[in-house]
Amino acid sequence: MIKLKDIEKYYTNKFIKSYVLRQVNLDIEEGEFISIMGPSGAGKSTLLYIIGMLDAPSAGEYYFYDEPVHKMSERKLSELHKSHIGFVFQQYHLIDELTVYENLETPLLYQKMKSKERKAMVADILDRFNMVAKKDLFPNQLSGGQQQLVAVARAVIAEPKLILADEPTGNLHSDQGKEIMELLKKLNQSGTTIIQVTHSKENAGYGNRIINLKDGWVESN
Amino acid sequence: MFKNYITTALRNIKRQKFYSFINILGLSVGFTIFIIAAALYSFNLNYDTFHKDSDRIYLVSSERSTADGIKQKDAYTNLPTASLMVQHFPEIEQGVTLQEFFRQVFRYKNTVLYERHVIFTEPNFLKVFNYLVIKGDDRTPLDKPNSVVLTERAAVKYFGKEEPIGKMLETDFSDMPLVVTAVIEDCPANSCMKFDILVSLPENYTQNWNVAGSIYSFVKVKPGVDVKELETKFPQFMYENIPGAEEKNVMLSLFPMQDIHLKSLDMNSGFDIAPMFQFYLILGIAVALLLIVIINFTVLTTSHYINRAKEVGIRKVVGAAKWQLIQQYIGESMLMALMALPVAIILFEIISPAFEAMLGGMVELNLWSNPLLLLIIFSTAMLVGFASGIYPAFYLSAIKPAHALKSKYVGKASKFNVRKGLVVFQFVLAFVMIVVTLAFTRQMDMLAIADLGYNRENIISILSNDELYKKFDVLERELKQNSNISIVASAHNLPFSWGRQDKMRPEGVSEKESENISSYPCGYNFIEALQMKIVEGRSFSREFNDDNSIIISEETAKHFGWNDPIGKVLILEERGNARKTVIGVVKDFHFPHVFFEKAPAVIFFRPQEPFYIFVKTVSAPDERTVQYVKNVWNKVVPDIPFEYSILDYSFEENLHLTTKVVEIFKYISIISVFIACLGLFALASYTVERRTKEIGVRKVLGASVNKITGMLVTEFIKLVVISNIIALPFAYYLSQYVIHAGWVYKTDLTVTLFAVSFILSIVSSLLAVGFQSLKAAMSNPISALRYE
Repeated sequence: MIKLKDIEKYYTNKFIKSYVLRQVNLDIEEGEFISIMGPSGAGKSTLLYIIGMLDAPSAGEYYFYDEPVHKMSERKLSELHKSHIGFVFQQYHLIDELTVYENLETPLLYQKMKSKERKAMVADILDRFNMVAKKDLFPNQLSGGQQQLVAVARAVIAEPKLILADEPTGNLHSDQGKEIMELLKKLNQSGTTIIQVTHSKENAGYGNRIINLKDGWVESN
Repeated sequence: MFKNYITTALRNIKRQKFYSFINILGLSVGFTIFIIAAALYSFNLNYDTFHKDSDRIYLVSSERSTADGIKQKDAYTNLPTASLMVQHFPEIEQGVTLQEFFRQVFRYKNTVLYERHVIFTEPNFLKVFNYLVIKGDDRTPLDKPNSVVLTERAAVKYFGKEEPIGKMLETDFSDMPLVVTAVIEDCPANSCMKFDILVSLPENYTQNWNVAGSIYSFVKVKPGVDVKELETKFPQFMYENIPGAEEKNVMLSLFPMQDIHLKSLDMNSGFDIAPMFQFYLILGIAVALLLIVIINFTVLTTSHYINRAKEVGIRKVVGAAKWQLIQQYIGESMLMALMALPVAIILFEIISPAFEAMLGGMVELNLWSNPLLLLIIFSTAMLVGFASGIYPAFYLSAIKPAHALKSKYVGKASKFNVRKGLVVFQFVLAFVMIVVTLAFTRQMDMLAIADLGYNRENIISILSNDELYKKFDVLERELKQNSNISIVASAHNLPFSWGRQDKMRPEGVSEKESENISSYPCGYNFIEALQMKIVEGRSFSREFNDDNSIIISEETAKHFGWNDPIGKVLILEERGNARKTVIGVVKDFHFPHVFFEKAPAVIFFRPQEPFYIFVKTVSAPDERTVQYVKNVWNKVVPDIPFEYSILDYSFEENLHLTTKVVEIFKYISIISVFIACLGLFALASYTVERRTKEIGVRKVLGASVNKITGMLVTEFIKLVVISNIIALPFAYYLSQYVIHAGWVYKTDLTVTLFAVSFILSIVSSLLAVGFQSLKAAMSNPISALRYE
């Protein structure tokens, strides 16, 4: 599904290159649940963003379903990204000005879906996540765990093939964290590929493979 | 999709109340000014369009080419012209002759009043032009001789609540009383002909070629007629029908009635005309103000982009393409504009009556009667919204989610700061406006004290008429009994509202080379009362027979190349080729409107037409003197109404419109400075926000509040100073242009003027940034540093 070949990421500041990722080579099959681990500043998030097509590598090749992502136009990238990838963040990142319902609806708006279909999908996911009663609340009226639940719901609403999660439980109590991890596991079991960045061994245990990053290098795979 | 955009936008506007308020305020103020300018422009553009078929109505104008190639345009023709043209050209549907009469006395019982706008005309006047008949005969009100049609205003003046139809009005010009046959609506403000009374012309009167005066011929051509082609037939028509046409070298042409108001500045006429450049200037300023508003919006929005960065990041993550974000943010600023528009319209409705009153009821600002105007205003608002959104939209949509979604996002610092550049640009515009306004004001002040070649101080001017001629000696003798009265003079007009020109030529020059020269008939003691300086020869005097004498200005002598002008002869065409001999030369004087260039001028002696009496007083005319004059007047000429004014005040009133334009300028430049300061304020708050930590560190290291405030303020003042320097040449050239656009007497652009503008812009910007800077400097450094 995903093939990274010699991916490098660096920033140039006054002719000095500072590297974030070095020669990353990865193969990820459909249906895997991968945990990326490593100390702060190892480049975990950057790698996740590159896989999520939100950041471009400085060098190297990236194939998504055998299509060369590194050669794509911005428009094509955006198309591919929005139809295949869902994101979950540590800080939830819901749009503060929108209600739960509207936040969930937003990805579908960008898919140019018909209003009727969209409503059905939002209703369905609210039901699945047990959030019907909260649909008219704003993010700041919810607890952290509830917000993250909405964020996950938003990530899966368009039924992506791949979910990228950047320390999804980082801001949550352990109970809430567990709930989210169980949810991700369930999604994985139903066929969604999941890649998470995590510090927690326990959370990494939900996955089937661990990639260790240090100073931008893949230490173990 | 749109619902989602609008929801986000509205909730954002609500959340950031203060910035939304400043943004919408800026937009509404800019729109209000634009609406006023557009309404003013539209009003002036739509003169005389209320006539049905107004696009087919033409004024017959005459043009004469002088030997040196100068073309002189006249709105005046002869009495028979219109009817002859109707007879000759099948293309012409109708024609009407009108003769404007100078002020006339009308009497009804005890009501004796002057009427300044009287038109003598033919029965079909109301068929060619459209004025609504409210009462009386709406089909043939002017068919019978001695019929009179009044406007509503005039009818109320004479008859109050009485029924006016069938009532008799007495006048001096007709032995028979005039019968009121109809009452029409008042002339609309956008009519180039202003009149209160229409009088039917006597039968066969229009066949007379020898009547001179303010005679206008209007024709209505048939639909689809090519006017240019029609005009090619005029020369032959003229040679065959107009006596002496060939020798006079005159050519008739058709001037669209709709163009008279704005496009006939070079034509000699008595119509209500306006110089187009004033409206261009006002419109230009309104557009410049909109530009400031757009910049303001851009600066404000991008200054607070941090608030939106996260949203941009999220939207990109969940699948928004760049163009969708651009669309959203441009839509958002258009929504702001849409919200500002009704506010602006309400502001306009509140301001416009005051504005109309300020211009003395000469304009009517109406939005709702003109769909095109509404459309233009709406599209301009949307365009401004769009333009305001472009930069912020591209700016925001370019934010990388990978950066924006990191936990401590503070935005990126850029070396080249577009915001600063935009604020500088705003202040350049604001500075230019301040300078132009001050220059304009100075110009007006200067006109008030300019040496126009005569002295208008201490003169009581009284309206009068022919009847007074026989009683002048008695009046003079009686008035001079008062020790405060030094000179009593008679005049044909007020010096500054005189626009009359006559065709004349020096003796020995062919008739073809006659030219229009300003001619001022005057009465007894006129030169003396106005203290005009005789440099050669003598003034008019009752001891000589001066019926055929003239006094010319030095400029006139120069114009004709006369080194020794005394005794030279000018031949006056319209007065039956009368020969007039020069008896004196006066220092150059400037009678006509101050917009016109100084030109040759000739003064005639015609005491038989004392339309004004000037009473020169020794000390400023007080109430007692006026009362004395009034008593004498009512004793000597009880039939002439006593209506007086103080000449100096009348002069100022004459400048009224222009003075008001200057006042408008003042308001607009205050507003533009205000909006520019809003932009600076936003920039200051943004900078302070970003430098909180730096300020904290500096304070911990021992910097004083004064020092930090100084540091912050200096940074902004530097921008303002740079703006002023950039603006200087533009301000200089533009104010130079404004001053040279029309006035004969020009003020100088002094250093003081620029210095004052400079100080004004610095002071206002200090007010804008001072508070923010002081607040930041006084804040507790601990909280600033703990923030990290």
